[in-house]
Amino acid sequence: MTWSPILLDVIRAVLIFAAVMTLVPFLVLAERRISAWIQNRVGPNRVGPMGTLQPLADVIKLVFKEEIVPARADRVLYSLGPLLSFAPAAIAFAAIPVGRGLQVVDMSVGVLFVITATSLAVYGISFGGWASNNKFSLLGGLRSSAQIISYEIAMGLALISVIMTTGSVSLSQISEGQTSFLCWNIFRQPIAFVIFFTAAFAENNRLPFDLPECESELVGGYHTEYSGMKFGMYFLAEYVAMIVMSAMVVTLFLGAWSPGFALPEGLLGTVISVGVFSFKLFAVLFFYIWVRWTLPRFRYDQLMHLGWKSLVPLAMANIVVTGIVVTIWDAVQ
Amino acid sequence: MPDIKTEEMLLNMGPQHPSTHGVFRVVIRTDGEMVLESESHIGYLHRCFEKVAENNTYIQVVPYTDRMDYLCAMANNLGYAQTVEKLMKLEVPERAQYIRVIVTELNRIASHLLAFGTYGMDIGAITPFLYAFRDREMILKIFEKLCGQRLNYSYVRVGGVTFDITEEILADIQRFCDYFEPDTIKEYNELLSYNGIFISRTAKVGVLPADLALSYGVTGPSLRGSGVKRDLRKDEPYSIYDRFEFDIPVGTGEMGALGDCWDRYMVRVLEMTESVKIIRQALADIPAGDFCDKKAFRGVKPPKGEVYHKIEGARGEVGFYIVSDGTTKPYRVKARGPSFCNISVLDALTSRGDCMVADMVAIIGSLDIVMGEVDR
Amino acid sequence: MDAFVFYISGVLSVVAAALVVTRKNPVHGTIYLVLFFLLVSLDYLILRAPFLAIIQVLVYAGAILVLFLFVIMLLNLSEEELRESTSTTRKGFAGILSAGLFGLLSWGILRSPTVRNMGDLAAPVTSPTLAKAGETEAIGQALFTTHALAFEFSSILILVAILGAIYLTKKRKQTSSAPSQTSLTGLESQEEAGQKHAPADGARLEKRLA
Repeated sequence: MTWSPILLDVIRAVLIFAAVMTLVPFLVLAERRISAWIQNRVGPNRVGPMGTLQPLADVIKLVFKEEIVPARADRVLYSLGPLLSFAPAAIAFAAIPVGRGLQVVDMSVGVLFVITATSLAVYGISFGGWASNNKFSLLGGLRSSAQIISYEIAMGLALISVIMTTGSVSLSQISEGQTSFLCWNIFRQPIAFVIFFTAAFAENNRLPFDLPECESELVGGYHTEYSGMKFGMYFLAEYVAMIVMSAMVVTLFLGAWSPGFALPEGLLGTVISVGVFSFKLFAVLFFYIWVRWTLPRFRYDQLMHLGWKSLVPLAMANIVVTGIVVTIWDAVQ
Repeated sequence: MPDIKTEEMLLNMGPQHPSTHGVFRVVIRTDGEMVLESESHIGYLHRCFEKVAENNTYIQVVPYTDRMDYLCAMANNLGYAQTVEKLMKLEVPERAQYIRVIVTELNRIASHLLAFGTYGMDIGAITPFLYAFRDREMILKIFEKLCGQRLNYSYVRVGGVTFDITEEILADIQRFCDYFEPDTIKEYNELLSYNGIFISRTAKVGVLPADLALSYGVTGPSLRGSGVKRDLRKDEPYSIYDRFEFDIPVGTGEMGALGDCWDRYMVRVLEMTESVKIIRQALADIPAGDFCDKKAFRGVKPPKGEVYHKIEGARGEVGFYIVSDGTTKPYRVKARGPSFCNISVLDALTSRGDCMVADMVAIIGSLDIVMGEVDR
Repeated sequence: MDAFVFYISGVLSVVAAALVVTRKNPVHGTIYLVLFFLLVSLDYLILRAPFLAIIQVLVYAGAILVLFLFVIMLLNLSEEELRESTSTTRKGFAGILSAGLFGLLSWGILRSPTVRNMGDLAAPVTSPTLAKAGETEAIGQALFTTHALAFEFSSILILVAILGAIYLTKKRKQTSSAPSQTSLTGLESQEEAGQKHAPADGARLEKRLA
């Protein structure tokens, strides 16, 4: 066994992880600036030029804040919660191709891997909510476990129809299958796109589905009691999960790293592909932010109704239609 | 195997909670997400207004009335001032009457804007709140120019108003009205009122039937949301309200049930339009002359007697009952705060078993309470 | 390398499994169960079955255990309830049963001709079909051709289970005295509303809170 491929893997892993981690503070800044723009405000503009150092200031503040553990809280689980919520999201990014041939691991079951990893994030939220020994936190934890399970089903069913069209569960193969503009899955599977994107909002606890942490009812939901960097970890996890889900939306539906036409061979093509992927990623993230600052929040039962009575049946119908179309298409070919 | 039972949970909402609109506490008994029963606890902000009033002169009481409903202080000032004037049988100059109507209606708009914004926030939409604050800021700036205060004005006083209104301020108000209506209100409706999620969160939620509302003494927009057309400005006109042309919007139940949260919310939005109407008419007719009765400003000493007077504030009927023993200090002052009566219906609305934790927030927000007035 | 990973994960999974049954607090037990599932999925990876490994985590750790956790949290057992220990006879009975099941399974696996004919599992795989046997495509082919009947039967089984669950919850709803949702129109009579909130009764919830 030679060491060089492993070393290369490590370098790639570190690079992509670092890229995602550096993206988070800027995403937070972008969220604050865009929300300010939407709301006729100025937004953070004091720290550094145009407020670019604001995330740094926020992190320093969080690190130096006192970490309070509530009385009669389950100390181990209380500390474990933020980590459990952050780690799966970070791991999930390993399988996503961020450019042509740029991927930490090219897994044959890439799609399933990402879904699995993000589904594990629910433990961080549930444990954190339970361990805080606070009723609001507990309610938040309960809501999140019910919500994430429900929307995972809709998401999985939407994915099945995508997999049926592309004929692969490997993310690299799915992205290579979308090199030409008309092959983008958003055109081939528009319904699956809508379902997947909606479920992605729910999986990430973003408005209009941010029930596990909705501040007007549950104060802060599962992270009511958290302070300092433990809270920071939850915050980080939320944004990393958001980046992962946006990357999935881009990879599965928006043509991944492809600009819609064939890229030149060699390094230049790879660089362009990374640029295209990033551009699409930012567009999706902008949409996330835009929705958050526009819509009100659903109620718990309405959320469940939407998931189980609208999205799941719709996704199932979509699978049946896709199956028929794929069979006919294969027969014609 | 013993029967597995999910435990009922007692949840303590408040006194420090993001959506109880002040230091208000509700203990709720929940089964999962359903609220089985709720119990309100008030009194965290009690400041003994009525007792304090007995130890101050009639003029000194005015600032205390500001701090009751601090979001619509002008109406409280007006209510108190008119009660004392009724006791003294004092005629207020014409110009002061117009100024009073203008500022009270402006303050009503400011108060409803805040109700609109915070209600959006209760439902989870944060942006409307900032929009509402942008426009409320214009009104506060006008008030600042007028009396140097942004919240606790003490502007309407026994005998008139504290300062005269200048041409410049009148022009500002005119400009605000032109800006606000109809464009900005249309924007609000597009942003929040007719948003699908907002409607699904508020329609058919917290239905307050008219008879229940009346039996609890609910007044103001919360009562009108239930379809009862009762507004003191029309029913028992005080000041010069009988000179103006305006409608009283009532709940129609167009999104579901009559008297639901959406109806109560919508009544407030529609009332802002009506207030602009009144202000426009008042601006057109405002006469020149004195802005106050100079004699009353120097000292108030009403004759022996007692009087009750009520006006329509932003939240409902603001009433004052004053007993005078002929000295410069009132013998007894009793205030009727609309928020206090409106909040009393909360437990009846939330203990019917059809209310979820999220509805609890929607219902509290739709009643639009100000804790400073509930506790006084 | 594979064998090394297997020994580590094997030991850890036995430890995790032991911790699941010995923890008093069910939430802690759940964590170890999650850990156990992750370790088992590692075993699948060593056996070159990535699909199974992922499904193991996705279905068991990602979905079923979350439901377990949901129920445990909803019950929200108090510390006294947790301290209640089960009787020794019951424990012994459970121990004997588990040991019996373990013996039966080991015997069956060791006797199985398929396992016996497999040869050295640690040796590198040479046959291309065998190398692909754990991949999604191969599993899909096998499920929908060779084992189609078993697959359909198991789906019917699950369907029946779902129907049973729905039936059970429906029945409970009728007998329970939970407040009905029918009062949405909510025209409760005034007297009733008044009685419910009699001032004398005012601090009843608060007392219970203390």
